[in-house]
Amino acid sequence: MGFRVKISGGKDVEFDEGIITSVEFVSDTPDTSNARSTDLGVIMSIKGRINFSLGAEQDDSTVELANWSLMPSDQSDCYRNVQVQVVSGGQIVRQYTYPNAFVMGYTEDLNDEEGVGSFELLLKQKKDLTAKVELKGNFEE
Amino acid sequence: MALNFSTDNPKIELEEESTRQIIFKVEIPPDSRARTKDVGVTMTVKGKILPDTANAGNAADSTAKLMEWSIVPAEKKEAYRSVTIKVKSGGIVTRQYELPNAFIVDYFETFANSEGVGEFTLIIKQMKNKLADVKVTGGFSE
Repeated sequence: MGFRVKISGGKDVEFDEGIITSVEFVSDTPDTSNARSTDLGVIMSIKGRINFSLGAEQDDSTVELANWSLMPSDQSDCYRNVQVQVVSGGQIVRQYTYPNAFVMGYTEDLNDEEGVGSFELLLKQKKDLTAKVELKGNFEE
Repeated sequence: MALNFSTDNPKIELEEESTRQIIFKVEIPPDSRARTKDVGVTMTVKGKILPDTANAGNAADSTAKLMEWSIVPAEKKEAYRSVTIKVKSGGIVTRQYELPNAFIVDYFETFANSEGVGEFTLIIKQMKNKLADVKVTGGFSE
């Protein structure tokens, strides 16, 4: 099972199967609600590796994730378009598109035991634009 | 043991191979001093998201319909559905849960590169003012 992530709207970056290790889609409403709530949030969690390229031949795109997470909310490109694909056996099992995603949390973990570091990016679609989220599944590559 | 999940309007029928676990939970506020009217019925359904490698482009399971249901806004009538969950073993329906006005509280889809299939978790509740319509039956043959 592989994952591809495309982020555009600031500095465009793409990650492929070699970088991303897991993705999680969450559709979240308050747990204490007595009926279906209009307070619907759509969240995406992306985990991956911080790979380095030998001889620094390629840019490390994960740096851009760190820069995005530091961006103040008064700048327009703190909202970006994010597309995540889950691929297995020639089939796109899921394709999640969040046109106005912002960073809720970003963590990088680097230590002297593993060869590469890891990151975790937590995103949310801007809440008043939740209806613009596009969810697709089960189509051919 | 086979678990069977279905809804009406629009219809979703999960395949038995994709459902893995069912949790039925009834709760009142934990700080309550006596039995309250504030009773909530929550059901959790966990299962697998199967890719169909033999026939790319065709859905291997109906879990994508759960994903679509999870972002239906509260203003639309499709946000509430009638849910029936059956637990079958040895030709006997051990339990049948019917929630005629269920809505989604949370929905999760998790994928990892160390696993061949994804996982979903669906948390639904019966609308609180229609709690009396929840039916739990069991012990009858199919």
